[in-house]
Amino acid sequence: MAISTAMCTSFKGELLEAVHNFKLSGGDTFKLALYAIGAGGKSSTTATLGASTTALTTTGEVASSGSYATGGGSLTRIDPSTSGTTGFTDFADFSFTTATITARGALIYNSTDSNKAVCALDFGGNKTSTAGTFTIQFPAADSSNAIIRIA
Amino acid sequence: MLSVDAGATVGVAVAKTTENGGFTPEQVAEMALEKIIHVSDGTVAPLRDQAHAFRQYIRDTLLFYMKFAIEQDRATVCADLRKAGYEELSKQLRSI
Repeated sequence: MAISTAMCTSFKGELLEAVHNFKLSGGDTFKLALYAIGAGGKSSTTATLGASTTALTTTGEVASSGSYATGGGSLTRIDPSTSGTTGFTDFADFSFTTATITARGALIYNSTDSNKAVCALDFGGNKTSTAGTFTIQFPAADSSNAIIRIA
Repeated sequence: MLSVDAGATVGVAVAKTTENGGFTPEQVAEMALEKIIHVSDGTVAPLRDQAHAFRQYIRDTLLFYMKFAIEQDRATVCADLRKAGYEELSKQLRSI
């Protein structure tokens, strides 16, 4: 049982089938859900997320708290771009407020298209907010750092 | 056989949290700064020093205007509360 940072394999195939649209204008809705390992999840369930994840799962998702509701929140897309030989896209930082949450990782998924998984994120350890803000800070939107890059 | 190699990569997303409140203007300024300017350790010394100095200038500017925005927003909320008859609540909010 673990969470590991990975681009979901199913997502790579779906890119070639034009399933996902990351454009700022008219693109799909991408959401981010938080997951726990151990006691932080709903009903003490434990998440397993990684390259083999194909869709949103409720197993191990953190319980609703503050502005965090089941399924997480909608991300703000940043228009896909290219630099050199790399194509990339990113999201704006996202926060859940007034929330008491312990999460070890997250799943980004496409809620417009059957909640298909995009990528899993491992925070490297449990992160806890207590009646506070839980922020996911995305990397700079460039060819070296963006959250999704195709080189 | 014809093939094209392409690598798909996931960047590093960082989780940051607070307890009993939100982030401070200093923390938010740092988040913004990380999006605006990154100075590589591999940059030659004179350029790196110049970049760090510019980064500090941007940080100070961001911080000043973030604090200014908070003050202005609070002033607007206080005025609205006063207009609505919540004079005491307005005073308390002003004093925070």
